[in-house]
Amino acid sequence: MLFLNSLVPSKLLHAAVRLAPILAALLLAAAACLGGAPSDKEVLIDLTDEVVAPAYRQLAGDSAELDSKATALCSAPSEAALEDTRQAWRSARASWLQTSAMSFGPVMDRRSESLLDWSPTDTAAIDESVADTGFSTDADQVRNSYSASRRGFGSIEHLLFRDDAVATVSGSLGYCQYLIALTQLGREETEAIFADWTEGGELGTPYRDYFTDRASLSLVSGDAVEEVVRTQVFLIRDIVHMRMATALGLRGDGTDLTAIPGNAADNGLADLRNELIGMQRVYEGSGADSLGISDLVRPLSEETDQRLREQLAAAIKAVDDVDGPLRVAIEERPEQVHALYDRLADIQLTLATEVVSLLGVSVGFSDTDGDTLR
Amino acid sequence: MSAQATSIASLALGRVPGGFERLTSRLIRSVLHPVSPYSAAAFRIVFGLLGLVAVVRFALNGWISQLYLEPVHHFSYYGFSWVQAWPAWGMYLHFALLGLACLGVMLGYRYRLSITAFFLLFTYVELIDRTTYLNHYYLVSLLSFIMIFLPLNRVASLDALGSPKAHDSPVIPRGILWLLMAQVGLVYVFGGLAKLNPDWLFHAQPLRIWLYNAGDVPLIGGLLREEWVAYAMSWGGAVFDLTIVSWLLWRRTRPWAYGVLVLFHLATALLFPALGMFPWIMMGVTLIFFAPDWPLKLIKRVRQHVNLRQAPVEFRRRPPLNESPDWQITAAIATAAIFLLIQVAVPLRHYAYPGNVRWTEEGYSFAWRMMLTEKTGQVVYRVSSDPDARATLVYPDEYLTPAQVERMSHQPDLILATAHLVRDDLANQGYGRAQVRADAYVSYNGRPAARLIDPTVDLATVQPGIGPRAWILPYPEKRG
Repeated sequence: MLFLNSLVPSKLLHAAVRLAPILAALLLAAAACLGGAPSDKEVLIDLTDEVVAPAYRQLAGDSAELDSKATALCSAPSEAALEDTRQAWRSARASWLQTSAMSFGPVMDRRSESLLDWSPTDTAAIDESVADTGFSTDADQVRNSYSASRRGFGSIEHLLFRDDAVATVSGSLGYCQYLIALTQLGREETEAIFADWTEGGELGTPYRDYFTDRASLSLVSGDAVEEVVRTQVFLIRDIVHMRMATALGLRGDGTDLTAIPGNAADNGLADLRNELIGMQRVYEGSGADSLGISDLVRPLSEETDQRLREQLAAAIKAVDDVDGPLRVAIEERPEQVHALYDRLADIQLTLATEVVSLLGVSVGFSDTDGDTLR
Repeated sequence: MSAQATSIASLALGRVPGGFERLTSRLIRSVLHPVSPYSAAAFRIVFGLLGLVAVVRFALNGWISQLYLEPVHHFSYYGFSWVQAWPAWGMYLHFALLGLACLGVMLGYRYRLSITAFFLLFTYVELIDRTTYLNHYYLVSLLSFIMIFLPLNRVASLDALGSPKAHDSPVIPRGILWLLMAQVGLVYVFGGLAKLNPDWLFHAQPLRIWLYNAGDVPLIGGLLREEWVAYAMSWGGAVFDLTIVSWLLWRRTRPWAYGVLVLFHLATALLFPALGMFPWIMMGVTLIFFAPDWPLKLIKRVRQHVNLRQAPVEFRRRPPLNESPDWQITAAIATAAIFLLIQVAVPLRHYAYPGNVRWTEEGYSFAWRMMLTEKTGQVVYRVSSDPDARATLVYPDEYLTPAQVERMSHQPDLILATAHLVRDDLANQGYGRAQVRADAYVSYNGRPAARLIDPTVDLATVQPGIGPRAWILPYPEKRG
């Protein structure tokens, strides 16, 4: 005030002080009267309650089912029980990959990926363990002592989808101990993720509440919408750059099928499809009345919004158009896989340029043409 | 005084007879007119303080490591490839010395040495990597360069405490304040001129995008999502930038203008945290527009407020006319004039290039083009041994940090520099002479992503330079 007094005539200052509350009241009244497009918070609440939490609930349920089927398989080994367990693995993996587009919050804080899905799988170490007649383990040991390459869906896949699975179940105590330890770890971990979102778990407060409140903290940092969009960008970049381009030989000297996980079960196409379905749900919401990121993009550019919706649908269709296992298609029907790659690249371009730009998302640092944070 | 000014004008301009000589002599007289040095001292103190805050923020936020130590490659400025990041201990020492220089400037301790060190240390950091360019830090470099030559330590400094001469002559030529005002004023004027473009005026872009995304700001969020608010703020911002200097120069409107300026910059700081130090720097340096003795008035009020009876230090004396030889004064004025002419010319250099500067970015930097574009790009390089051979994809993030990738992906000169990085790296690995083409797409102010670079051009053969770049594709006129 003293400082202002020395610069501004006191009459002006007093007039400004008198006018300020009136102006502020008018502004607030105007702001309160305005509606229209949904707010970030409304979108985040819908996204959490209609898409994210249900997806993790589904994952926890499917993981429990897989654990149950694996236990049943070990109790009474048979081809039918093995097929049931394999089917449960496919369902759980489908649920898990649909949450790839929701890799924020508890799943990141808990570093669940290293427990549930790590690539590449150390198949030699797994085989060695199973072959060891004195091998014994449980979920806690797998969680605390095993490397990430010996845990999760890839390891379960290696155990379940071997040709001699039924015989191995019958003949190896270690096999069943390992399998059940892995599926039990999967069940515990996915239940914990869901609990963190909805009940609070070890956090005390449900992550849902914190996450949806972060819309209003955008002035400070850590905007939740930004995190959701960034997750989509990183996911599609991983699919296009790291997996598909490498597998198709666009990045190296030739095709490299090790870039695609899920080869033992020939699950590559299903994996891709589920990842895209997860992205589609995050973007469009779970139904006609449910909000998604699309509802934030559309008011700024209907064209971009419509194009991304079409691109997501086209990519899912392109997955369906590929005949047979992905690894076979890459070598025998590459034109189908290249068509799929192009559709995926379309999504990447729209997300990484237009959507990121429209929603003011910083993928690396942040920038507003030259005047950036610093 | 008058005779000396006339003689200086004659020296500077030759013996031009008549009104022109009188005009120049009046101008020089005005430039040399003695004024209180307290405003300039306050400028020095505020400048040093802001610099210190910036250095501390840099250190606390881990930016020294993120921007200068983590990147394997840096994008040098033309002619400054010798400016390289030091090893870790060197960078931290560099910033520590910079912080000390800020303190020296602020306290007026060995001022010339401090401000020279500040300029060199600060500018060195800014020159390490083109992806770290910021308009307001360019301003800081320019101001610190100017300050090297200005006696801003005549009062309110440790130097003055130890110098009886400074007490004898607590005045400075008015031209010193004018020079600082001119440099600060150019930022607003060119910032305003740059806003006179169709996107800003007729589509309220990119403010529409930015305000919409600030829609969850408490209380006023709903308002910010209204389209008319974006238009109002776009036009208001342009008018503000274009006219604020005039209002600040006019004594009667100055207090109001500064009040508006503070509100404007506070609002931008609140709504756009990514602006970082910019609003605070501008609020600080624009104090130079106030009367030369404003700090004395402030001190007087403080003394009255705390009931102190001692009279404040008053400005009484005029400078001795024979303080400097004529030729020195002439040289100083001529140098300042040339410096300002350069400062006017540099932001206009984009007219030498074809196309839309906001798309091509040819002549974009060092031109006070602030908050004009929302651009995001994506670049993938196709590398092959010849045009018909199968190309291998190379991604910029194989060479650069995420922050560098984000910045380079919409700047053609940096896309070219990265292509050369790829070319040289492959050559070093023994792959021979590679051809490097770019699939570069940019979304700009809400438009659909469009190709920025001609995908048929082998960027490995393109030489960097300041000439027009034919390999940049035209600006997409269609709006999204």
